[in-house]
Amino acid sequence: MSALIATDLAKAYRRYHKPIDSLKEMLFRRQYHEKFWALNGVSFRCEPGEVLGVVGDNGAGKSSLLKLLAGTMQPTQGELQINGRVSAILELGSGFHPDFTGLENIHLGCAMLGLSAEQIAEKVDEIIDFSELANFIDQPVKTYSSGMFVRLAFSVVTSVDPDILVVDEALSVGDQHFQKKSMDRMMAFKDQGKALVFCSHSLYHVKELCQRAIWLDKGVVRAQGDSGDVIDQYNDHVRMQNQVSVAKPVATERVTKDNKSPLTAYLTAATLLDSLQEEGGIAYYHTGDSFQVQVLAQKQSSLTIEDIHIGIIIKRNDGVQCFGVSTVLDDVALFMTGDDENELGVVYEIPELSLLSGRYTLEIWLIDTTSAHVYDSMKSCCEFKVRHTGTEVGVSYIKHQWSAPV
Amino acid sequence: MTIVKNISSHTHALRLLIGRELSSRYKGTILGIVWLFLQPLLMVMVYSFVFSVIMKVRIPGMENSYHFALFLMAAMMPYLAFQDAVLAASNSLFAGSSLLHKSTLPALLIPLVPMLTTLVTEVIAMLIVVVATYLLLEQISWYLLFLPLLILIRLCLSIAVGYMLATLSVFIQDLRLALGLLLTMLMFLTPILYPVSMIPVAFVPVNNLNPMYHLLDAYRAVILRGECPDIALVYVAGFAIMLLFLSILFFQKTIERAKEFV
Repeated sequence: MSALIATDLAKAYRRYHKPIDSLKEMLFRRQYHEKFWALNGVSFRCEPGEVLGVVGDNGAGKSSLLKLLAGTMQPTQGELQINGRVSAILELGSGFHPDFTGLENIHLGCAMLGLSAEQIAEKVDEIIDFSELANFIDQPVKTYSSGMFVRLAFSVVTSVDPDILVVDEALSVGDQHFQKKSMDRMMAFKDQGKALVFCSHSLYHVKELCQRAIWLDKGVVRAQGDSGDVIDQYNDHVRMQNQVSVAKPVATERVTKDNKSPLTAYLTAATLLDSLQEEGGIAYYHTGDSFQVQVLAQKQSSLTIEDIHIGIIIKRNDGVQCFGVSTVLDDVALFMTGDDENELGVVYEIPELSLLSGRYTLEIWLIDTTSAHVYDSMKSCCEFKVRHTGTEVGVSYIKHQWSAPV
Repeated sequence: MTIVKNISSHTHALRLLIGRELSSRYKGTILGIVWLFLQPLLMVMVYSFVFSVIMKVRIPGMENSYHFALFLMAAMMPYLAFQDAVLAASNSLFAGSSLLHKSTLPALLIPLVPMLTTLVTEVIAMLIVVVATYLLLEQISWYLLFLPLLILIRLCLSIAVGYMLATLSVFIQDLRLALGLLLTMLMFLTPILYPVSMIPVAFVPVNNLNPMYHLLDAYRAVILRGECPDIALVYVAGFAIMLLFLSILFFQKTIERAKEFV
């Protein structure tokens, strides 16, 4: 039995001019509000023993989704089936009373989760122990730092033996030591067959901890599935937003120049060879695949073949130049591609593509032997996507080894 | 039924919240919980002094000089409890907005906490009035056994009105301002400060419709007169229970909407 089944879940916030309009609406059955859909058509499952990650930009609907799961808010449409007791840390110290001591808040917090006085008495010591707040437990929580607050909240919420634990990014407030401790506890929960829903902006954590992930974008599910895949896609999206100024990739690789007269040489085509094609029509590689791109150019007969060179730069979609090289640097001459001595070309090959997951484009330059004069260029072409299976981070897979200290 | 189940599974939380409500009121004070007794006690003393010693108010049929003060207190204390409960309920969703939004506590409990708290203050106040009546007037009777029932009906009535106002004052915030005034008006229009015999004949039928009058008169009957409460108490109880059902229904129907504004 799934721990959580969400079917076509939607949450609309109603915006009224005045609160009374909401009452009028109920009485007269006429609409007085504008709807804002924070979530729309969200469907997923979470199995016991599974960690489900939720990622997305600010305002994507993550918090709304977690509130629905925690039961502090009701969905407008759709169905949410929850099998078991849910315990959630949403915002910092939710439901804590600032004037009351840590101990009083432990009692209150547990009682609000439905525990009886005896059950609470049994757990109090363990909660204090885990929170490491024994010295402060009789102080009002308003004197606590945000880190202490979250330690108390996490200790309470996880001590009630939930079947489903919902954790917002609140945890990031804790120090390294407590973060480690709370991660360990969450993993122990997972091993006990409990379901976890984990929301974080730390994509590395989501990729590491979660088997599956959901990417929410403007209230809808942009992607869900294996957390590695989802995070890679989300990362592509984030980098795209972070880009400084990268031209939109050119859809077709064959560029026809209208005005060729000032050029003495120009690029005619750049094509990725032997790439996998994804549904979206974008070329797709795995880290370690071989990568080949064929670049064709045309020169005017006034130039000799030695005067013409090609440079290729691989750029990630956030504008990072990953690698760039040219036939000048490598001291390679272009090849004639046919009978016409003015038609030139070259195939640029990377036997093992070491790039990690991301979206990339090529920047191709047609230059002279000094590399200073540019005949022609294609700024953003041959878009392709790379995926790697591990959770390594960075731009490129760098060959390495580990060995015993000397 | 689910409502009852919901509340009963949270009885411990309810107890802690009421304790928190009470102790937060006295938190940081030197006398602490003593204030719970001191407040009604001081009021009885001041009223007795002002009305009996200084103003020497005498109402026909009340010979003892302390009679008027106790006559006043016997009805005033339950009314104040009602007033406290209703005012607190109308403010409860604003005050408890973080509980409302961030915890899974049933929303029904949020206005209930301050309203149930008035039970504690009222019981203490009534004990003091009963003891004072015995000491000053040497009046005590078995009809005092009705007192818990009266307090229960008072609570029912408060909760009924309170639930109604809890969400309503979110939609119509003017209510929070008007409510204090309305409650003062009700206090003056109900024979609390004066005996019912002073009401002009023309207004007697209107007064007879006022459930608050019958309820407060029953308090006076059992404490001061040593009489059985009037049969009109049945009308009050019926009214309170009817209203309670209606207002819980209203609260449940409107709470999700009210949540959007607090």
